[in-house]
Amino acid sequence: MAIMQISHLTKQYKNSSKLAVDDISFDVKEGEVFGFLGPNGAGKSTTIKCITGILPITEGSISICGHSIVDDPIQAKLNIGFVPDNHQMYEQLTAREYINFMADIYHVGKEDRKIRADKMLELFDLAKVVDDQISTFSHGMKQKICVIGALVHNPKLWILDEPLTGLDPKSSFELKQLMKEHCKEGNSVFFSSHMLEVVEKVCDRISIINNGKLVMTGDLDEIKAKSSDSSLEEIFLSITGVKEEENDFAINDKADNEFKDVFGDEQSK
Amino acid sequence: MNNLSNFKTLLAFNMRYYLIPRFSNKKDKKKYIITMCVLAAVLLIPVVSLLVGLYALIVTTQNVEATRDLLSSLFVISQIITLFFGISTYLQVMYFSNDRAILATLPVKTSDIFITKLLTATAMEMLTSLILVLPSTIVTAIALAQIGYSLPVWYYVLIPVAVITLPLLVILLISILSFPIMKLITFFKKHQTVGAIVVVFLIVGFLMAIYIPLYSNLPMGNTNVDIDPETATEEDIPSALSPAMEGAGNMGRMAIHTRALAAAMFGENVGVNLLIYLGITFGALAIGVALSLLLFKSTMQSLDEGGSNAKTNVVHEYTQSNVTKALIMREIKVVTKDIGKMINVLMSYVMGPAIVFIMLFIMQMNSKGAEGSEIDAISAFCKGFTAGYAIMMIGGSNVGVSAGISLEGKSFAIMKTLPISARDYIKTKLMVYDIGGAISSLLCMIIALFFASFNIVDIIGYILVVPLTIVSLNAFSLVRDLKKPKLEWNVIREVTKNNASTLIPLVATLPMMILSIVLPIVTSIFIPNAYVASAITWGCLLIAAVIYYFSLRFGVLNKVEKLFNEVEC
Repeated sequence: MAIMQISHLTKQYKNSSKLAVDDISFDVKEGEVFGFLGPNGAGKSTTIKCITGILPITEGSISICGHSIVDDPIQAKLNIGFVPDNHQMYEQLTAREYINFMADIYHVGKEDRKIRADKMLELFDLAKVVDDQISTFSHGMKQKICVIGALVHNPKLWILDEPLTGLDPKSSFELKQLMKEHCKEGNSVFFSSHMLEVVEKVCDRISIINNGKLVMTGDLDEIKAKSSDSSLEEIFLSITGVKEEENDFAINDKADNEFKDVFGDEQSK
Repeated sequence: MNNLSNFKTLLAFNMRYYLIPRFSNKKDKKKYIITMCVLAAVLLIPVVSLLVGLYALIVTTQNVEATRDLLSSLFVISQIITLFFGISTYLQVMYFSNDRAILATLPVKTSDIFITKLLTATAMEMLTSLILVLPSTIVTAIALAQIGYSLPVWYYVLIPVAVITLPLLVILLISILSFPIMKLITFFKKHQTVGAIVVVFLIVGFLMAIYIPLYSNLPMGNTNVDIDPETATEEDIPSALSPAMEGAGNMGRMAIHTRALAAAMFGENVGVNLLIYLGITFGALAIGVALSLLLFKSTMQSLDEGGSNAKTNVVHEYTQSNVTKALIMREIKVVTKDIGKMINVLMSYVMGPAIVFIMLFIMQMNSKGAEGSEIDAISAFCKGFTAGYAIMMIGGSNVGVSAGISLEGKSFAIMKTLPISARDYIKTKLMVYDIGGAISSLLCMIIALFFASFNIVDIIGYILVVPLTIVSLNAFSLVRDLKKPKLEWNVIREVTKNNASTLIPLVATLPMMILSIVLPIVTSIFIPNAYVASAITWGCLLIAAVIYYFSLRFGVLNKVEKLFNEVEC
């Protein structure tokens, strides 16, 4: 069963003639970790912003647990937990006030919020600072509070935009474990990342987006079967065009070396 | 050479950043310019009236000496107004801008950062001075020429000197005030709500300490003019107006520095008077700069340091509440725990009652000895002023609503991801500011009760009209900001000042404000029965308030869902 269905999603920003996201379709199934890959400016964050309701969509549809984000946004959003890439939150609040606020909005009972939040606060070593103002936290600590806020209602779909950026190795490991555990409970995780190794290890299925268009979707074996490259990194680089650029650089370097051999170092500069 | 180049770059950057409003597109720029023009046109009416009054007073009384003192008074008033508007500008530029951390990493001296910021803040205050001093000095020159008095060339030479140097003394006063403010902010770092409240009350207290003695303890001249209005002729007009001219010059006569400047402008002992004026001004400036630099160096680092003297060993627990309460509490906490936002919002709620108190107190002090119809007229003015000022200050100048969405900044995106309707979000936001506005406006009335004779009709009328107008303006302001919020900002001033959304509500307030001030005076003149006059006044104002409600608030929540969804962030 699909937790999230995206059908022919297109997004064009108000003051732009270019399509940021161009007719993409895929779905995220129950119990899977879904990785969303793409180079900078490919349309990953725009897609995530459309899914979470931050941006209005131009065309197409997005459905979360059967609820359209356009027609039935509240029910759709009740099933989402979101961790943004810039860990945007109300920094004037204390961590506890923020968690309480999120729990109130998602109708989480007092006992449930205590159990879930305390467990994650212990896991992330934040129990001692829970009553401190978020503005005093480091980048990683803010990221962790965002994660707790997103999971306090145990959402069916957990969406994370570049979640591992800025986390220390221990926290990064714990976050990956949390993602897996969340899926084991029958929920799904959808996350964007540049870290191909992590995606390769954690994800059940992936999609690659480039220039707003979805280039490939499937599990790792399917994707490898479709491509002549052997690793996800090579597949990613060849799909996004970086590999050709690298070849160009290599040719230029070769020409440069030949020039140096003939004319010497100074003149080559 | 490198240092000088860095200094120039930094100065040019600061001047551009703070003085020139920036817009993401031409449409926004056009909207801002149009709004500014409309506001200027509306404000031009009272300004032109005052200038015409000034001209008439000088031409009618034909008293050059009194005109010189009047000019000195105008200089003092310009300094007071610069102080009023300058405090928040100065604090925002010097201490509350988010560029502190970036600037600290640059290869420039802290003193260079300080001086460029100080020059920027001073330049902003010079704009206020220019608007106030230039027209009044020109009108004075024209009026004196009209009565055949030829001003020396010094007058014209010293006009730009006055514009540039008059705000400098204000820097000293603001620097003195900045000291306790910044110390309090550092002390209350973990209790910013308390800190902001203390700071706002400190500013209000400081202004009261300056305004009240300055205005109320001045001898107002001999007002007992023995002229019978029934038999008075045109020749009696100068005698009738001369006490007013004398009184208006009293403030200028007491202020040594501006009196010296005015005397120099009139060609009296130019060298000595100029020396006195510039000596006082630059002496004060030197003290102000030294104080500010000391404070700036210490706060540059301490503001970004964690921890504070405040103790927070309280153990907290999880609490549960419904969505509406959670949204209300979020709104209150997000505003009150951010000192920049809090000061801006509180200024509207605290300054409203504070200015009403100051104005009515001064009026009472200056109207001692008034009797009969004079008392009625003063009372009518007090009622109207209280209502009009409360509407303008609380309803028209509250950035909590007029920039209510913009102030959320980038965190507005969170709201869009939450499972709540835009209607609930806007409704709860309005609830907070409606309650705040109602309380503050009622406080204005309670203060006014001590100075003016409100009858029961006045009280009921005020309670119905003022809060109704304020809640209408709140909805209008907030929804206007939702149409195109300015979410990308670094310095709060970008949202509160260089933003058409904060000016439009002020324009929308003006008709109701003028009506509130004028109507009680008109009815008190033409209707002898106080109750009937009050009933007519408040009846008319209630009709106007209902019109405001239906045109600005009624059904407005139906539009918010679409506007909310359309915001791209």
